[in-house]
Amino acid sequence: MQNFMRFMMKRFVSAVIVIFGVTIVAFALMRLAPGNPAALMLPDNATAEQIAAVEVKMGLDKPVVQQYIIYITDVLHGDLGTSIFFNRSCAELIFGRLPATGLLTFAAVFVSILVSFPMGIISGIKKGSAIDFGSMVFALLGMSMSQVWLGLLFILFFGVYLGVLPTQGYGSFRNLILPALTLGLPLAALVTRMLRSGMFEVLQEDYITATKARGIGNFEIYTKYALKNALLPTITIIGMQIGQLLAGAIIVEQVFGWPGLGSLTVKAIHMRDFPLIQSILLVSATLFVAINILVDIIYVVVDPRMSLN
Amino acid sequence: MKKSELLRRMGKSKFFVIGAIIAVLVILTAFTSPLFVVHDPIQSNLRNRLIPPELFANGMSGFMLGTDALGQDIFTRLVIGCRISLLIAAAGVLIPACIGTALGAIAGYFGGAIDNVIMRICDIQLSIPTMVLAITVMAIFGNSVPNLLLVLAIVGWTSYTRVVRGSVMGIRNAEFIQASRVLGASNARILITQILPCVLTPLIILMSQQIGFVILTEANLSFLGMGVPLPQPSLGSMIADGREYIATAPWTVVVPGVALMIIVLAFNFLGDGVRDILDPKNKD
Amino acid sequence: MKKTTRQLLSWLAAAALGAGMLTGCGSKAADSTNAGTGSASSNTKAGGENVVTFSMSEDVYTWDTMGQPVVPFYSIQLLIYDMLVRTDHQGNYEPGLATEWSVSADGLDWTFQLREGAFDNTLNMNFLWSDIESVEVADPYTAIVHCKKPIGDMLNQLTYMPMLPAQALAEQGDDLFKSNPGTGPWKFVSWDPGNEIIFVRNDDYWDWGDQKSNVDKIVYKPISEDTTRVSSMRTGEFDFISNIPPDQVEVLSGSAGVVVDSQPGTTITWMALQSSDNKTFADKNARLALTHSIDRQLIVESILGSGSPSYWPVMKGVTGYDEASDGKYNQYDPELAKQLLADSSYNGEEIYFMAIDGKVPRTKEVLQAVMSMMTEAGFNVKLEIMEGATFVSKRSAGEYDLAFSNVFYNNGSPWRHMITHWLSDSCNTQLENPQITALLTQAKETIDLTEQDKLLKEAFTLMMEDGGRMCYFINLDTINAYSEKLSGVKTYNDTIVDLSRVMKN
Repeated sequence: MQNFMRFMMKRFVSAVIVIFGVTIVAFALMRLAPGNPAALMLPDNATAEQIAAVEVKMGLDKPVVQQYIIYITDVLHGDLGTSIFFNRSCAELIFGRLPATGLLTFAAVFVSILVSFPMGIISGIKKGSAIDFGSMVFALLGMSMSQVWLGLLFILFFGVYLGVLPTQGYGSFRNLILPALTLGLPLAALVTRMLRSGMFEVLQEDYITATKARGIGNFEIYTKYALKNALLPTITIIGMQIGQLLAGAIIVEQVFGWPGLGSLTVKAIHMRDFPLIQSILLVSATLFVAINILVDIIYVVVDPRMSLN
Repeated sequence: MKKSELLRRMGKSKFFVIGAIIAVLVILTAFTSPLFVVHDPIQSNLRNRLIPPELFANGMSGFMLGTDALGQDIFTRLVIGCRISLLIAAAGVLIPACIGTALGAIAGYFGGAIDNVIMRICDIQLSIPTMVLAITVMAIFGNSVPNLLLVLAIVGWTSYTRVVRGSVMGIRNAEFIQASRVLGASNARILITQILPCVLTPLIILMSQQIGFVILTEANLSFLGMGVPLPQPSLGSMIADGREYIATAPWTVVVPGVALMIIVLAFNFLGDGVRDILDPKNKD
Repeated sequence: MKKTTRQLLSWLAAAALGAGMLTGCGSKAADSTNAGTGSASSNTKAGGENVVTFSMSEDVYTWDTMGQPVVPFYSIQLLIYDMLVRTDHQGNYEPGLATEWSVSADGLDWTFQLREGAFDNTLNMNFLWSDIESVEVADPYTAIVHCKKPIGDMLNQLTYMPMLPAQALAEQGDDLFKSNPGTGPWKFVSWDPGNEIIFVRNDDYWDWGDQKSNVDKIVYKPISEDTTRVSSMRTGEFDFISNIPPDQVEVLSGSAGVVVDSQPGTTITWMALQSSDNKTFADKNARLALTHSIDRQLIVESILGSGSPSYWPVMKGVTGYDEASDGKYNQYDPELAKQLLADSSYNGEEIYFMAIDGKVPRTKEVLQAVMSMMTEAGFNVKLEIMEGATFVSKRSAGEYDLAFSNVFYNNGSPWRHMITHWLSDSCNTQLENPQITALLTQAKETIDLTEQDKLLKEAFTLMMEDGGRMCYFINLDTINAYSEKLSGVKTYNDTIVDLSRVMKN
């Protein structure tokens, strides 16, 4: 138990470092970009004094390091800042978008697990069979389709030709189907491959043959030993992908008009909305890191033999 | 691995063979394109807008795969766009591979504080969503091919670092390395002459698997308008351009989309094949 | 270890639940602005409620009525606010909250008689213009605006300057714009940024007359993708959309239940020409070569399918339009263009042509076509379509050769564009033409529209002959589409739409 606590402390500390690092990078990147958010807010014929006045109001006139310290202090008090462009609190904007993004992420992961687990496990067991061949083709196809292409194909097929599914927007369950498939199928391809190779590798191990010799049934072998081992790297990948998806699947949101975090981010970058971008990156990084820690915990819980280093 | 064994494996791997054939075909077509293209890929001719594919009706001088919204021949743009995408893909794999390998080798070999710092930087970068990073960099530095390569380098180096680091950590205390140290070889010498060759196998496997991914990333960025700048054709921007006409002139989207898919598929096959061949655990 | 598998599965379930709760909590954390997200897509009478949903391409980003408005905001203002003066958008004015008005002989004092009525707006006009001296409240229903100089565009400006409740404004300042209290026919309910804005009918509105709307709720959804907006129109999710790509007009016309409303618009697209010393377009020959190299008619016909070439800085319906001169300038003449370019000091330097997306339908295609045409005349062009922030900063710094943009003339008045780009040089073109400046300044202070029109025509003639600061490109049509079930929709040529009296069956 002590080991575990020490492990968690280490992970926590490194998580905090990473999150801080992300805020520094975000801060630096935005200040490097040409384009002044104060100038963007005012009409075309604003004078230099007017722009300067808005800059003071936004706190942009202070030295960069001081701006950063002010920002971090605010964050530690729970204030994520105010969006320049939307003139509302960043927290409100970000958490307002999270349901849409969360829903899409959840649906995509659900689709991918539903599709990949049966395929990956069975083809790992029956390598070389027809099912295996089919899964491999599916997996490779899935990895080779850009989200844009897949999404547009779905739109063409289900939206234009068949006209059965809505192709944009957010509101009903039917709106969710196409975007979730577009995100979920390539993810399924990835997971299928991982599961398949994971299952297959474990089943090749000597101790499996020994176990079989002892008379333990196939099913128990597949689930108790093989699946468990194959699942671990799979969960890592899924965890990482969830982290990325929660940050907003920008391409899919563009193609399907899904009002998630991704499109908010794109808008914020276009408008040089410093506070909003910084906070979005902060929230995404935190979620990402949190999920990774969760994955680590799962690892340890599932396999206490694993070294805690 | 002996050469004969290598060749045997190459022949046996279906993925490798299929992937290699298609990839070679694509590369050849793309790079010999100046010899056979008839139309100008970037000169618009508004009177020829949106002509459906004529296939072989007018032979090579017709619009074999149709024209796009600016009257440009899609086949020509496809072939030129492939060339551009392939060149970017090659650079987009080699550059991060070099950077990542260097960093990974240093991290793995020296360990300690250097390793910690490099890994933290890796973690920080991985916590920033790829697309967001790419868009921000392009927004900062503007839309051009060198900047695109910069973005691909930034986005890609972390995988190589991790893989190389892992490999190097595995062998840094091997006997032959220790022997070299005893004999007085400098760290730099050891790294370059002895460690790197051992790392080559996983590195090549990773590189071959990344090609497809880099091509897709470039296509996605071009779709968002942040990839290959106008008026150069690129598969991604061709899909973006045709998107509006998906209902009325679907070939403007379908043709580049299918081409993109085939190319990435070929390289993914190739990547899998290379892994099958070079993987010592593969007893096939 | 089946136990471990079960443990594992229960961890996964907990994590999934946790994620679900997180996002669920998120939606509660956002304040009440999230009302009605679920039902927004259904457009039929949900629970007996009559809802109209309309969509344009941009979201409002600031509710401050003195902020830089996005185009949809003009239409939204008409829902929630009352203006002093109303207009038919053809240059004619009617009483709004002001019942009558007059201007003194020297043009410096405007007297407005205000409507006596059920609202409690003591007059507080939020003027920021530098030309206003003061506002005097002579008696509770009479206001006199004292100007430093005669303002020729006064009435027009008043048609989109909403009346705000004075006391609340004094108390709340900028926070007033979180609740947007107005005296208009509709009440602002909520704003979910990027998603939707909700309004409900104001049953106590003073001016329904016999046109009271039977619609209970109006929802505005910004959708930046044109094709997405169109496909949602077809599926019935929207009742009204604007900014329709011309080739979708046919598709929409064929859709059951959809009315397509197309009219020549007052939006003009143009390029600013950087004319500082040593730049290509400092040379008048180069400027004229540019304008003659572009085949506007072909672009209108083949790519846009709508609109008309701009042969004059303003179009019909806008003060300063000259029918006699329409067609005299900016003609496509490739030989003349080549000749002019050869005569100029241009030596093949790269022309940096920059733009942002969306100022003209099919931006990429249109501009690539222009680039091709310029190349044929002998220009060496580099086209870059970039995002807004970089564009704005480069343009104000003058770091370009050509900068593409558009403007719409509202209510037949050219003044917003003229003031910003001709009386000031917001594009930093550095092209000075004292004659044009003098004529425009005089016209700006001329209240009599006929006089103003004459002066503007003179100024515009000089602009066409000089070829700069702007190269006017194409006039865009205003194309809207709405459901057959709607009536009482007023669409104007300056893209503003008045849905305040909408009725839905």
